[in-house]
Amino acid sequence: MLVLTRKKDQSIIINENIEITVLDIQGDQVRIGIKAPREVSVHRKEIFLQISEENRKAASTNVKADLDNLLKNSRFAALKKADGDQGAK
Amino acid sequence: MIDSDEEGSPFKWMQGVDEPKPAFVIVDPFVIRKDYEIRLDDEVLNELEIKSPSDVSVFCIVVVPDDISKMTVNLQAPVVINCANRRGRQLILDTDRYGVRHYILDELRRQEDKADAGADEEKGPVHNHK
Repeated sequence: MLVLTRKKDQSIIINENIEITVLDIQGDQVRIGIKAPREVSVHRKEIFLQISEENRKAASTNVKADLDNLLKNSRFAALKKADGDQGAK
Repeated sequence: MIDSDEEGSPFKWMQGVDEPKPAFVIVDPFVIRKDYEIRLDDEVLNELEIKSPSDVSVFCIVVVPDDISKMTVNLQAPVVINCANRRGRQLILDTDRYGVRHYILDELRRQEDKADAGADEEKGPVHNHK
């Protein structure tokens, strides 16, 4: 990991087209501004990790038989009715 | 490639055409939350070449644990697909409104409770001022 020390209002340039600026420092919180091209995704790490983890768990689902059972549950019979009432969005 | 597990099921499978694994159970989020809302910004519209709202399909990924009653859906990272050109991607919604793990049965129970409450109001003639 490259470690740089910045003061408030100082920046870092990554790949010549991404700029990270320390906007404000209050106690243990740092406000960080990010300028990046639209195609570059930027997310808080914990969200990103949560989603990766959920995707991983979802991919290891192996429940074809069980899903069929799920549908026999009356609650999901109600879902079928609700589905008919739903608009496209 | 999306397969319907059964007629009229809100659950479907999503898997690659070239590689059958991984396969994901997906569900229509509007069935789980009637007021589910997502906003597609220009970047996504351009990337998926979306020309019309009616071309857009939204699905959310389901995690099915051993205890099926604890199945959860990730409402924070929906999969958006442009049906016109079959391009899609997973979006991470920048919102506090949804999380990565919503218990599906709880959400459905909540909907039923709401529906029941509504029905009770209509039953009594005294309360019906419409």
